[in-house]
Amino acid sequence: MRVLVAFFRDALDNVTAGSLRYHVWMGFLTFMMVLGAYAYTVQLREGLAVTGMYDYVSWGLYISNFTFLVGVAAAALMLVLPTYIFRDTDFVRAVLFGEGMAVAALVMCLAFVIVDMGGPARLWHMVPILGIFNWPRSMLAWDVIVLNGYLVINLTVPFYILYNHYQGRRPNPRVYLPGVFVSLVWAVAIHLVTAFLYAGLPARPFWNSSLLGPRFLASAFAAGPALMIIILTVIRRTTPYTIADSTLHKLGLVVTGAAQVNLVMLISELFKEFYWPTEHSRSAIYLFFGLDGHRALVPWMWLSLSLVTLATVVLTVPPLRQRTPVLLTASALLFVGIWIEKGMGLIVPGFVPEPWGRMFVEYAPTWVEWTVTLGIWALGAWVFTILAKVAVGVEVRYQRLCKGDAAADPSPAKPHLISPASPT
Amino acid sequence: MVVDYDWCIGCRYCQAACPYDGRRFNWRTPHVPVDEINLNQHYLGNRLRRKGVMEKCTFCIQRVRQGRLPACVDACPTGARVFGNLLDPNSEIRWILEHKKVFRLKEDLGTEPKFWYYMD
Repeated sequence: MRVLVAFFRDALDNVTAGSLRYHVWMGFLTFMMVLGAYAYTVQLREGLAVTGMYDYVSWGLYISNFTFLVGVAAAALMLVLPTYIFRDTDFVRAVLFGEGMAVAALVMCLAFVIVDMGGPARLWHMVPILGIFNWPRSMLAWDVIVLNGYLVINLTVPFYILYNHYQGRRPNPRVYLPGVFVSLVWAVAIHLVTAFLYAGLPARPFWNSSLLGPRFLASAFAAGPALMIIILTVIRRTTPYTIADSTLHKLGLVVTGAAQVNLVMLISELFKEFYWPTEHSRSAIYLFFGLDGHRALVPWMWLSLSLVTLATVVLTVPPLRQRTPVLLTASALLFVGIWIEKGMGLIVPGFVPEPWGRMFVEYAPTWVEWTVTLGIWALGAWVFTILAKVAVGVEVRYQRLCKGDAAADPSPAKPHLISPASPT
Repeated sequence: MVVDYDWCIGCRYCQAACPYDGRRFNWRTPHVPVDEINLNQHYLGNRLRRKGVMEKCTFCIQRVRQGRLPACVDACPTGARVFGNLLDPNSEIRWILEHKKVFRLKEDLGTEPKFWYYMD
């Protein structure tokens, strides 16, 4: 118990101390969160009428971001699987950040769902026992289970490992491996269930596709690791934690494979919609070419298509992919491209045209939606920074302890970021 | 089907799922002038909505439960609308379903709506 208290006290000391650049970063994120919170108070007071959503596009920017971020969370699988199951040494030093990214993404997912609610104060109505949890009939109830379950797994497994490293102990695989196995299945489940949430609605032909789930997974396993490559580059430049080039390049290989599969699926979707367009293809026509003069999403979609295609082609050529600046740029392009496509490009056309084929005013997010969205992204970055900083502190110290043991040095160097644990 | 306006959390999943454009969301607090408020209210029917909840046609549950017809049926000048008990084999609606040409919207979705269109 004393060790646990010491762990959290040291973690707190760790995250409240740092370079000027760190404080500016955290200050900036806090400012964005406060701004988002202010915009949210406006929305709470006035109702969702202050958003661009209306009865014919009843989900917008919030649910778009939610959908995309479920994929980012699921992508932790691509680090967890090679590390714990295949014992791949290149991923060991990245896996904790992968799990941290999953936690941050899930926090953002939950936040985006809550800000989209008309009555967030009544959310307890779906808590089992207290309220009515309509499981297994409602796909939304399934999503609540998988998202929260995944959050718990991704908090507990890394915590167990870090907590042992903090005490200079080797974590026991028999304790954490069951959690790892569950998390693998669970990662696929969160994204499939989220896809089924849409695919299960015959009312919206644009979503009612059996390819939606697999496509979600492919794009997630491209966008998530792409973000991870960028994050790991930042971590190794700004902290004493070392990450080898080989780790980044192996992740690049994961991104490439997933991006290629994603592109194949995209082509088959385009073929199905445009080779013989039916009444059910009108959403796709609206998305890619505009319908009845309404073309708000068209430039975005073509931008996304260009980014995703360009990035995938560049990544496919090994000499290009192996150059770190190219890898970073392609990862960023892919991430943005998939964010557009799997966000607004997926959610909004599902509602357009409305069920009788009529067209109305086009959806455009308002300043409230953009500000709340930025605030939630800042929240995610803030959560990730804190988790990553503690992980770096513990891991750097643990490595010194290990090296100390190897050199049979009785007094390992004084830890740099975290003060020594008091032995129990 | 009715909505419990006190229990709805406003996620709008039902609106996304509805193939008939049958649902409306209260994006802001609805405003009804005080002198126009009907004091004879039903919990699941015509009572004042709150902000952030879903609503749909209730077939005027507050009238139907008293044995009256929905307001739209009463108001219709030509009697083109027929409302009745499908379980009663002697009802007018059952007679229409058996003797007139009837169809339902989007039959292919298998939603079995209890709303028919009929013609002679």
